[in-house]
This record gives sequence, structure tokens and C-alpha cells, in this order.
Amino acid sequence: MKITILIANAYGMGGTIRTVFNLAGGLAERHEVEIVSLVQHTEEPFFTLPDGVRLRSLTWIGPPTEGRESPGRLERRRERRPARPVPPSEFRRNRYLNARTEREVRRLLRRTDADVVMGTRPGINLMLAKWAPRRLLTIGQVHTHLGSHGPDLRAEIRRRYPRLDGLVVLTDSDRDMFADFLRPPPGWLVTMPNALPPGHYPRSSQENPIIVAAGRIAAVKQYPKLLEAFSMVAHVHPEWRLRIYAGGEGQDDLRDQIADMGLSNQVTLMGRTRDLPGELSKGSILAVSSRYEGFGMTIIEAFSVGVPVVSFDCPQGPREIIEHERNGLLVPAQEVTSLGWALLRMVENHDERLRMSDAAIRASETYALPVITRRWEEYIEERRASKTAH
Amino acid sequence: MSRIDNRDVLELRFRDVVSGVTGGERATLALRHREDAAKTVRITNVRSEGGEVRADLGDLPLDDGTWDVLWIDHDGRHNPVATKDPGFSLAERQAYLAEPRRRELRVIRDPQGRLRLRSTSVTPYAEVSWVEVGSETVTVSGVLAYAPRGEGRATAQIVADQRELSGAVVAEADLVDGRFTCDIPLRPIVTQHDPDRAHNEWDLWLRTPSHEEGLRLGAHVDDIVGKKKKVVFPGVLLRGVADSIRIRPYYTVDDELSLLATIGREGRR
Repeated sequence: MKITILIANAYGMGGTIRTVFNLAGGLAERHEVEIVSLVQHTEEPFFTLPDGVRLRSLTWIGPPTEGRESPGRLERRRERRPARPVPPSEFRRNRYLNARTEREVRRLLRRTDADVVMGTRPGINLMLAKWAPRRLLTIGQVHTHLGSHGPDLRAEIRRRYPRLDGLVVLTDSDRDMFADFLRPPPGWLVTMPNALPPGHYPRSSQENPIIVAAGRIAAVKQYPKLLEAFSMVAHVHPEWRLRIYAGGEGQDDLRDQIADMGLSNQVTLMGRTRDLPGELSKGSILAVSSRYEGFGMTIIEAFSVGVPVVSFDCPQGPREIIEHERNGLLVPAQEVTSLGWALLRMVENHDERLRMSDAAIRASETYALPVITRRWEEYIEERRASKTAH
Repeated sequence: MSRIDNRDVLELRFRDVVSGVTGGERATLALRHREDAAKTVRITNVRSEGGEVRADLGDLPLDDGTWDVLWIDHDGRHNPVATKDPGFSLAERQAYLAEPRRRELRVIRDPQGRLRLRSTSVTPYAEVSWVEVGSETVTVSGVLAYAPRGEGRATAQIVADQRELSGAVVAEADLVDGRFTCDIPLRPIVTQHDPDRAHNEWDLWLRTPSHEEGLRLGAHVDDIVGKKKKVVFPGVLLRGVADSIRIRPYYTVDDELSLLATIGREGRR
């Protein structure tokens, strides 16, 4: 099978790009896989392209180089207009979904010899729904929450997504929301979690008195609430530490809070890391204090290195990954004291942590790339069969 | 499992760490310098028992830097050793500090899962474990690192040296079994503040009977490099003759502990 995955910019460093590369690598084991980037701004992609995957771009938007000229006036004008049928709110979020790239996408869809074409964001899924010829199997991937879309985008989704041959979401909660919204036929809409990148993962010894948190510094992560919860541990067990791996603006505010709360000796703002599994494995517990999680990749990464997770039971994400009392603890969302008690319980129960660590490793196997790839293949086969039958 | 004990013995539990090597096979190990492959050192003092290998690195001449740990097979091929060990055990690192030494060996796991060894020349220092900012004092406590730890109580002082100036503040420290604690008074720092300098830095040293020249206070045991931006202590504002002086402990770019004194205003950190 030949599979083409369309992505806005494959050369950047976002989470979607990482998971798309990962899946492409898994599918490339048995299929011809090509990632097509609407735009390209640098010579090489930030993430390493998996073996066997081809990458190409439709338009060059970097500085002019040999063989790559700046866009002409007409193209620049097209870049300022949204692609059809991309609504204004989606165009504001991603300016690569413009009339210039629309022309290239339509050309690609007319000429491609691919069997399957996938979109990776709403605007691209909408373009596939409108422009893909009937001979192509079109699959939309959903990486963002339906509730975060503007009314204009939701209206376009309702109108056009049914023309796709299938839609894949990350969590069951997303699936339920789309099911209510679109009333799709059976088999059309499925949940497909992100896969763990292949690699040799370390294993936490459960010896280090370290709690880890990870994710960009943003209001949704609610780090101030985590500090409050951790302070319940910190006062009773001064040898325990909290290491927060996070980048982004807002670090100064968080630093001030750490100092004001008397946690300077015990909380460290570690910055970003390129080896999160390696850093997670130095710890014994992962703490998640988010208001909501799109998916919860960090939780799976923690599981993969034998680190149990204590998390708010926020909408989506954690509740679909963590099995309460088995490989972690879920506490009522926004209840900081409950989060503190749960952390304290884990800190004080080494045997329980060891048991949960084993269970976490077993749970992570569900997310291994070969397992997730197989689910994708089965889904695509089923969708092809369903399309042929109609 | 892959660990360095406090006698510089590299312990490997082979079944866990190497694929394709059975416990019964005689293990031959070597170290290759990451920046100069010509520097390859065969480890001669290796004992293996069951699945466990103990390689004594104590007498090996190793330059500073990172070394690949290699396993040499029957055909003489040098193979990387893979490890699942995170390469960091806080308790073992703390135990490692207790012995006097001039060279520090640490096992590391690289992001691809290969076992590496880092060799670093070290001098004795005072490892800081806790810093508390009070209204008139900064209290520091910790342990002697890579220096002999005498039993019982010994006399000791913390000396705060005003960087690039001649000011000094000396405070008696409590030193018992190699553990120290000291309340550093902040008034003398306010008194000696040089208002012509935007920043007055005071570097902290622990003076002991065996280290009259002083052991620099720092925090290196926890594997966190670059604490200057990662750890922040609160400041305290003290009224001086002309100005109020804000004093705040901080880690330098070398992860050593100093005090920063600046002319301060109310409400500013």
C-alpha cells in the first residue's frame, strides 16, 4: 500500500510532527510511506526522519537559495488568502493553509498514485474532504480537542468531515464528542493513541526520592497547584525533590512562587530536555496537575520507564491511560489536597511503588509502535473494504 | 544494573545490561575515550561471577572526559554495552562523596541507552544539602566531599569572601562526623557593602583543621548542572546606614554557593 500523510510543516518541532514521524516509521515497515509537508522553511527537518519514510514539501518558504526563489507577487497574494474550504479561525491558527498551498494540494491529489491520504489537522482534513478524488482513501487525524475550535470551523467540520473515509482521534473522550457531533456510521470513527517511539528505554530503580513533572509552562499545566500539593510532601519528607522539566515563558513567576513557598531546596526548574524518558527514569513518581490533557504522552513515557503516575482525573488523557491503584493514582480534578495526599502515599510506600512500576511497564506495552501500527493497518484495511463495498 | 561503588569498582549485572552475553562467558571490558578513540584502555582487573561483573577501575589511568564502556567478544570486536540503569542513584552518589579522592568516576546512560563512564579531576569541597534564609542569617548545611571525615566534633568556620574586594565575614560552624552547619550573619555583609559596585558577591568557604585554605561550598551530587537558572532562593532585605541591602544566596555558573548583595527596595526580590 502507498500511504501519503499531509502535514502543515514537517520541518518544525511540535508534538504532532513527532507523532506523525513516529507513525510513518511504523507503517513504513510494510508499506510505502511518504510525508508531504505543505511548506518547508529549512533544509532538514528538526526530527530525524524514520528509516524508509520519504519526505517532500509542496512549497518553499525559507530564504531564497540556489534553485529556490522567493515567491512571486501572485503567490504572495495567494499566501494571504485562506485555502478553500478552510474557515477564517483555522487560517488564523495556521497560515500555511493558504490558497498557494491549496493549489499544490489539489495538484498532488489529482496526480498521486497513493492508495491512502491522511490529513493531520482540521484545515488539511477539510481540504481532503473537498478535493480528494474518489479513488483515494481519505483518513482525517485529530490531534486537537473539538471544544477548542471556533464555531466556523465546527460548522465546516460538521458539513465536510462525513465525506472523509474515516476519522481517527487520540482518546475515547474525543471519540464520544465527535460521535455526538457527527453521528458517523459504525467503524468510521476510532480511537488510536499515540505510540511510543521505538528505542531502548531505561528503568527507574524506584530508589531516588524524586518526583518529576513535565510539559511546557502554561496555565493549563497548573504548576502552582502542583507546588501546593508537593509542599505537603516536602514538609514531612525533606529529602524528596520535585524536578519540573518545562520550557516556555512564565518561568520567572514560577521561580518566585517556589522561593515564596519555601521550596527552594526541593523544587528545581530543569528546563527542556531532549531525553525525557532518561530523566523520568531518574525519578520514582510522575505528577500531573493539568486542567486537561490532549492525550498524555508524558504519562506513557513515564510508564515505559517504570514510573507510576499521580494525576488529577481531568477530562481526557490521564483517566484513559492510568489504571487507578494499579499503575498510578487518579485524584479528583482540581483537589490540590487530594493530589498532595496521593503523592504522600506514594512517597511513603516503596513496595506499592515497585508493584505499580511493574504494572506501568506492562501497560506501556499497549502503546508500543508495532502494536499501534498493527491497529492502524487493520483500520485502513477495514475502511478500504467498506469503501469498496459501497 | 551498572554502578560505580565508592571504591571505584564498576559493577555490571550482565543479564540485565548486555544482549548476547551469557553469564558464564568470561567478560573482557575496555574503555574508549569519546573524543580520542586512540585512547582505549583495557580493564584488566575484572572478576565475573554468575551474571555479575566487577571491574576495578581504581588504578586505571583515565584522562578527564567521557568514555564508552565496551565489551570485547571472542573475535576481539569491541561492542558497546547497553544499559537499562538510569545512571543516577542519589544514595550512591552521596556515599561516593565520603571517601577522599582526586578523581571522580560516574556511570552515565546516554539517550540511546549506551553505558558510558565520566572521569573528572576533583578537589575536596563542601557539598551543600540545605540553605535556609532567615531574617538576619543564612543557614547552610551539608557534608565534606572527597575530604577525610574525622569522627566526632571538630572546629570549623564558614568564611564569606567578598569577590574582588577585601571584605570577609567569618562565622563558627558546627562540624560533626563530616557534617557541617552554620548560621552566617548578614549584618557584617551589609556593613561592608560597596555601593559603587552594582553587585557584591560573597563566595562561601568552609575552613576545617585539615583544610585551612577552605573548601568551596557547592552542590554537585544531584546530577543537576547549571543551577544558577534552575534553583532560586528568596532574598532578605536589611537596613544599612545609607541604603537597604538585599541579600540572596545563589548558585554560580559552576554550581558553587555564594551570596549576592545588592541595593534593594521593598517588595523586590
